[in-house]
Amino acid sequence: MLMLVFLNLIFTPSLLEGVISTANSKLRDTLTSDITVESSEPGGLMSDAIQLSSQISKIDGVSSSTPSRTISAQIELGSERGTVEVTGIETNSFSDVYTLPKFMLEGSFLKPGDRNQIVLGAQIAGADKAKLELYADSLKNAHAGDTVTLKFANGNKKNYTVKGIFQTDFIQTDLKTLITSDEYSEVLPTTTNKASAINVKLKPGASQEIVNNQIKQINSNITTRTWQERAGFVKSYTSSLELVNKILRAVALFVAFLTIFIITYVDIVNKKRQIGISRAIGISTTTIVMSYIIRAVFYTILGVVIGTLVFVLVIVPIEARFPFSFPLGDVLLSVNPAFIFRNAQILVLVSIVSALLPAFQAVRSRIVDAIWGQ
Amino acid sequence: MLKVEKLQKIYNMGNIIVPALSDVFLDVKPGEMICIMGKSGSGKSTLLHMLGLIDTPTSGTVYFKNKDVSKLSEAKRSKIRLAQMGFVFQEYALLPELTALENVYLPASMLGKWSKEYEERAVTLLDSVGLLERMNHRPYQLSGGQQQRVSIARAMVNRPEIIFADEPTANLDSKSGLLVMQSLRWLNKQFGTTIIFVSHDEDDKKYADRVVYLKDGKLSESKKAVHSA
Repeated sequence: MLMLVFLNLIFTPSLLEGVISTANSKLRDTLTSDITVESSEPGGLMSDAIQLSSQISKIDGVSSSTPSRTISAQIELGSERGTVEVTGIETNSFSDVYTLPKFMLEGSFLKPGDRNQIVLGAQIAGADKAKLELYADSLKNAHAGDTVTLKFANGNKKNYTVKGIFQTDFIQTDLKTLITSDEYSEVLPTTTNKASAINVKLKPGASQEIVNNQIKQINSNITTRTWQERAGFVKSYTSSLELVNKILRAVALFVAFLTIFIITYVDIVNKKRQIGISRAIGISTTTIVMSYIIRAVFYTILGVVIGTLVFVLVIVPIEARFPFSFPLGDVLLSVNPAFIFRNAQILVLVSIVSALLPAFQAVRSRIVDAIWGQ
Repeated sequence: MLKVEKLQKIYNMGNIIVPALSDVFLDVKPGEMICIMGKSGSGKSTLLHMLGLIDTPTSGTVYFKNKDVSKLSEAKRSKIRLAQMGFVFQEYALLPELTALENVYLPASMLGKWSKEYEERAVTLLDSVGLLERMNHRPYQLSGGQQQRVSIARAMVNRPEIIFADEPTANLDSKSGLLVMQSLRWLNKQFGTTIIFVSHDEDDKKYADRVVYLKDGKLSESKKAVHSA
């Protein structure tokens, strides 16, 4: 019973934690990276982008960085058309910062030297997936190998072969349109070796704040934004989930309290006579109360241990094999030892209070009444 | 050893006042074995609870070893009960989770005695009541008579000066009841332990040095018993 109480306490929060974690991971791995470096002038371009990116990559704690440029364009496929943000990327370093190339729905990702080729997000291509959120505004039936026409904001017009279509299930990412940096330079020669953004990936455990400060020291004309600052709607989405998570945890904790209280109360009511006899033969009330507290704590710890083993060794592996599908993609249960330990501590505390109240009440009654079961 | 003066116990049941004991005087000498007899509802168990410091009188005084103990706190009475008194209840009152041996040495462990010492004493006591072979059995594995003999051994483990037994044979067949009464008498003779027991069975009088009768909460008679046990 206590095992189920503990599982109830950790399952839903772990699932919601998994949703939040998936949302944040996808945000960082496919859209914002950990830190975005931009020109301090709004809409401005950073010069010597390759050299700047190289300098940033050498900072302790930085795993890699990649420069990119962005321009608006109109995209056409047959009679379908729409407006897109075309991003010119350094294909090698892009794959070091983003995991986006792993989400190819059709075709393949861009390679160095690719010319006249373009990679589209699923929300732009449509790819005959009518269930896509923005399908109505997409090209609807663009597929790998098709030719699309791009009319850039500077007036240039060019045809591209769709090399691949990616789908991350993250709408903002799936609205991207990518070409190689060389291709971008051909369309906008004046932006060669310039970047509208340099995206930075940190090494695991690296301090975002320290790296952020070191980047700012390289050049006074640049500014930085962390992934949290760029989170936008994801931030409000995860904040709402965190709030829901807190409410659910409070409810689960209350249910746990009631359950343990009822179990202990019924147990003690059934043993009222036994308690009376124990008191009659001289066992102190403190000893009796302590014995019930120790019992409750023992059973709670047993429930926590079994519940944790069931969760980690059974539920998590099964869920990993058959994951819950959310709009953001498959969500895995988050196994956080600190979270499990904290909940175990809370449950033990709850069990102490739950045992203390009825036990204290039982030893306060007259011994004779207790013996007679009154 | 134990003396009560002008003992009165009144139960207040809503608007009804029920006098359970009225002006009871009793003087128990060391080493005596006293039987309290009377009809159901006469106040036998109530008197035993007062004498055993399990309950407090409405008025009157209880002296234990010449000290007034009737107004002591529950904690102090609890210590006296644990260290100097033993109890045998009608329904054995053993802890079901514990073995016979553990049940016997539980009160001793509460006195903080060295485990080996009280375990040995518990084994000796179980042997003396004929249950050595069954000491590792739990209460549900024992017959009623065997459970009652375990509770006698438990009552003796702290070497009390006085044992209170509340109708110890009431739930037993005559053979088991005989064994239980013989065990109590043996303890009384062997160790000089004062024993006060409640019974409504006239046959039990033979085990007592003295029989007191309770009728409507009043100690109406007190006389010497004729020993045949």
